[in-house]
Amino acid sequence: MPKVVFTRPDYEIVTHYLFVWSQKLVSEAKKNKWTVTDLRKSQATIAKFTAAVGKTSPALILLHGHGNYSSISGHNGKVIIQAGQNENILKNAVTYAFSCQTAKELGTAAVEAGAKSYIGYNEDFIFFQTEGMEKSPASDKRAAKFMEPALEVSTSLLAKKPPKSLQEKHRQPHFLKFQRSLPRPLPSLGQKSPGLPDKKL
Amino acid sequence: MKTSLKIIRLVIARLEVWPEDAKLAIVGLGTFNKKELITHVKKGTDVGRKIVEIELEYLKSLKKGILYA
Repeated sequence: MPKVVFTRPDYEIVTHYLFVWSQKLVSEAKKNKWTVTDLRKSQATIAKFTAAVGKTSPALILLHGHGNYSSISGHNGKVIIQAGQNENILKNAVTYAFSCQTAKELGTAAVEAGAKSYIGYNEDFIFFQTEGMEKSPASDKRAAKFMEPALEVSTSLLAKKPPKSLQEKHRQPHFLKFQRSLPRPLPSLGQKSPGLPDKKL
Repeated sequence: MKTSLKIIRLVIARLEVWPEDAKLAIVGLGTFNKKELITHVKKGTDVGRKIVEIELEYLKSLKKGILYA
């Protein structure tokens, strides 16, 4: 069976949303007959990640957490992968980083080091949430508008779809799509009333 | 009025109509309600500049026809 390694830290609101929303991926992976290593919460450390990848040689790595251009973090914001230091850990694997910015430098470095593919975001990953829903993120319909399309990348990879096929499909800016459903304050700028169906997106 | 000031007023006007319970989560920076975002935009912090950038990108996309209302 192919192997997948998850990192899913959970130590503040944003990572809690990622943690809860990525839970269904773990079930999806098992359903699709992947051997799963789930480094959840405090297990999402560089030591455990390095050991898990070394032991299982995963075909797929699904990372969740905070990132910047050159690194991605795990539990308590501690770096797990840093460009120029250990990006070769992604060698021979397909990786999807559900975090900010990492595609720009870390992703490039990983591919140069032999990663089969690296899917990530060049800039910040931003999503809406609803105040008061922090204890039940899975029921937050506002956040769902961002989480569902972003996690569709992982779902497709777990369904063994080739990474290249996901490239264009998932490039649509979810924030922009969501903004369309918000009230518009400035009709004088030529904006039409909200709520019209958008055939382009 | 300077263009930069007009842009800030525009962005603040757009933020003011957000639902009261909506919060924006920026992975790596935290979560912000609309009052906090308006303060950030007024003060010109990193978060404020990010919001201005996003709003302008949205409006430019409308103009280009990438998105339409």
